[in-house]
Amino acid sequence: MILEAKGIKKSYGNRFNRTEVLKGIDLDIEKGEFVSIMGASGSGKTTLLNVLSSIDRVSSGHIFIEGEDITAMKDKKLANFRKNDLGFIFQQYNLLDTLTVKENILLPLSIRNMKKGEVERQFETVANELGIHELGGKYPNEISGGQQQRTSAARAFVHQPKIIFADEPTGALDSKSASGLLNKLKQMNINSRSTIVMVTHDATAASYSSRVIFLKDGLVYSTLRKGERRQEEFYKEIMSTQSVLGGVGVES
Amino acid sequence: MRNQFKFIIIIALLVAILVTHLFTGTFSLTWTDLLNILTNQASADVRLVLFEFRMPRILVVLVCGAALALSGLILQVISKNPLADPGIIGVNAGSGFGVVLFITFISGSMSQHLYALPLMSFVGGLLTVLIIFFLSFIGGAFKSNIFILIGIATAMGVTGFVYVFTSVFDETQMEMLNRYFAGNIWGDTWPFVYISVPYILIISLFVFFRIREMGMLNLDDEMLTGFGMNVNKEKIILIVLSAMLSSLAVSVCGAISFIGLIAPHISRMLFGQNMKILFFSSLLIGSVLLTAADLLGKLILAPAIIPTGIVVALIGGPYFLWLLMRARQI
Repeated sequence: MILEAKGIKKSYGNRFNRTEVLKGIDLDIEKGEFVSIMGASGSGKTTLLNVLSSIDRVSSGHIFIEGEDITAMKDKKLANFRKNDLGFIFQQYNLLDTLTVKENILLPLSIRNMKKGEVERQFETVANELGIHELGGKYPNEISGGQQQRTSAARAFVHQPKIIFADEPTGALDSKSASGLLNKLKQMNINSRSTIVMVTHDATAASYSSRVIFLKDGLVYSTLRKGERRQEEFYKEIMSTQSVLGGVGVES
Repeated sequence: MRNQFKFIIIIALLVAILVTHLFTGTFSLTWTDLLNILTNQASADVRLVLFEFRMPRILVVLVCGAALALSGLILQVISKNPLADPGIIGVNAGSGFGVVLFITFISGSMSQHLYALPLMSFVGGLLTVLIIFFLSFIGGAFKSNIFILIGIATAMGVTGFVYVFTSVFDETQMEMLNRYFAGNIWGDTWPFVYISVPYILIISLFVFFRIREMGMLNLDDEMLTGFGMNVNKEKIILIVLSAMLSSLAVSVCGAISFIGLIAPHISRMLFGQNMKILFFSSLLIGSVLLTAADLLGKLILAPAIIPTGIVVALIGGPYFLWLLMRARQI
């Protein structure tokens, strides 16, 4: 088991006006899994991703990554842990306009003073897998949104993290670019046995994963597993669960 | 190649301003004087004017302009707000408060307390920024926008305090304070060069080694946290460096605003977003602006001298408006 969460609670606000966003969530994620987290606006899915990925602290509960309790880690160790073991993809591509595609992808490696040959090799691997190798010398404003998001994904994978956290990675993409990105993510998930945890409100995006966790009002409402089924069937089941939840609404 | 060309033009402009600055003023120098100095045959008063009056002033203005520009660039980067300026976050107000305390409690002639005035001004500026800084942590995490807002509010409060003190000032004290707020370059002798220039250069060197981090701060904070960067620590370091730069500059130059706002803007228009280029171009353009303002102040109404800060405001005000119009904010 790569990630284990026990009784996670998270609340915001001061003591007069507290909002409990997560009300006690238990979660296990196996190594190499591709998990989607779904739920209506305000169900706490982004908050859950933020605490799982240690960007935000929990109010109570424990999160273990490979057996180590990250809720008890000191800031410095936590920063190191994020740097080495985690990768992030956000809805905004978060690329630096002043750097080329290649330089953007290599940003996580440039922070850790790696050997040049090794850096090149890592770049070759992820850039080829995500199909953006020939764009290496271009700048973000010269490529399409889909290509920018694949650049962002390559940057998340380049240092071979244990877990990739993706928050609405297809949120700003048209459906063709979105399916392109998701296919690549799935391929990376299978080929490199990397674990992916993705927040999405899009049933199509979720159908690429192997398991979907539905949140409702800060609690796990239900879990669907793809198993041996085809993607279309899985999609239909996700859709019907989503309509029961009433969470097909517009999402930011 | 084009960038190099622009840099050459800016440097040429700076050199032209500096040379004009050296030769003009109440006591005009000629090329013969310069030649005499180089061959060591100049008269004593020529040497006095050049080495004791012109040179230290030019050095102070040159370096302080660069310091204000760099300080502004840092603030704009960390707040992701192109309108940030050291004056906005209370450096000028705080320094002014230091000056008021000096006039109220120490007073006397400046020559008796050569270092006390710039020191109090420096401490006043730095303390104000640090207070603002800690206030902006009260809500929990440090947010740059809140920092700027608290800065504006605190600057107003501190300025209010300054005027409470002035109600008991006599005319000479009032004049001293006005000289400060008009941005008179009071520290134009060698001792002031020694207490400001080396420190500004050292701090700028520290900033130079954080250029990569400054460039990366364009990304969202969550992303940077994901990269393993301690975003708050980076911002704190940069804010302290920025506050030290502007406090130092203001403590010898008086309350000069706008340089920190305009210089990084002009740099971005000329050179784009590359942080390393912005670092150097902001330094240069800050120097050009402040030396040019100082030169104009000396020449326009000669023999009367317009305070440099006022010249900067006269140019900076309309420029700021033009910027806002261009961004269709008005």
